[in-house]
Amino acid sequence: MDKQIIEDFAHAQVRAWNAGDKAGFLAAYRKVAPKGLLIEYVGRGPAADGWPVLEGMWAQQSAKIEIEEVALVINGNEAACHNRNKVRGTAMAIETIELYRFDDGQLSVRYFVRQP
Amino acid sequence: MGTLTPEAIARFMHGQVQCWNAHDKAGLLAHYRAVAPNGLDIDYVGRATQADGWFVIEEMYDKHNAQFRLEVVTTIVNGNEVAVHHRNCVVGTDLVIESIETYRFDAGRLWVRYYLKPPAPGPIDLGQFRGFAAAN
Repeated sequence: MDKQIIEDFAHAQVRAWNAGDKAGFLAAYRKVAPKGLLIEYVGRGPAADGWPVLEGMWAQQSAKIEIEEVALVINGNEAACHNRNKVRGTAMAIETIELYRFDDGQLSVRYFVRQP
Repeated sequence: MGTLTPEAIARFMHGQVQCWNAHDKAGLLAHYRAVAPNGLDIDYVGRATQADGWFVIEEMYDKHNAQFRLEVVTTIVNGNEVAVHHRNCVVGTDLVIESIETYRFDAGRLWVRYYLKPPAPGPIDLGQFRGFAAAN
């Protein structure tokens, strides 16, 4: 996948999340994952169908969390992001490193989550 | 050798950075041998050419240890895997190569994957680095 498309996706999902734009957030994923989405929380079991995971994430966290992009590295058809998920109204943040692999219309995501 | 304890993983992650910055090659390799007695795989994500992990780590040290000082931005341990964000600072300059690295410990083997972000253009030849030289 073209590097610019990956970069656009990475920024678009964060921008939509922070704007409270659920449709835009899901659209960013649908654009790069027309053939399927898998999401894995590393250390908590195997990857699962990503669409209900995203829906649940949005329902539970979108009002509470604002994302700050710390680093984005794109190599080949993969991206690695270091994000700081700031809990609104507090000084608390949850650090994540997120891996994205784009492969023939499928997107596999792996989240490393550091609890505060 | 089974799954490493969180303490052993933390000791390795901290120890490798400490040894790198102290120019302690023997200590660095000892940390790797302690967690990877059955094998070491190192993968530069997105690069066509890969090599044996022990060769890569030795080459990296011999060619670049004097050039770089490591700064740890964050380290996340989840189960038997670790993800880190490092800043690889070129000594004597403002240049930094950001890396996100993953480490998976399993049955005495260690799998490492490097995601490397090239620095802003400057007086450094990226071709000297395995992770950039083999870019496809």
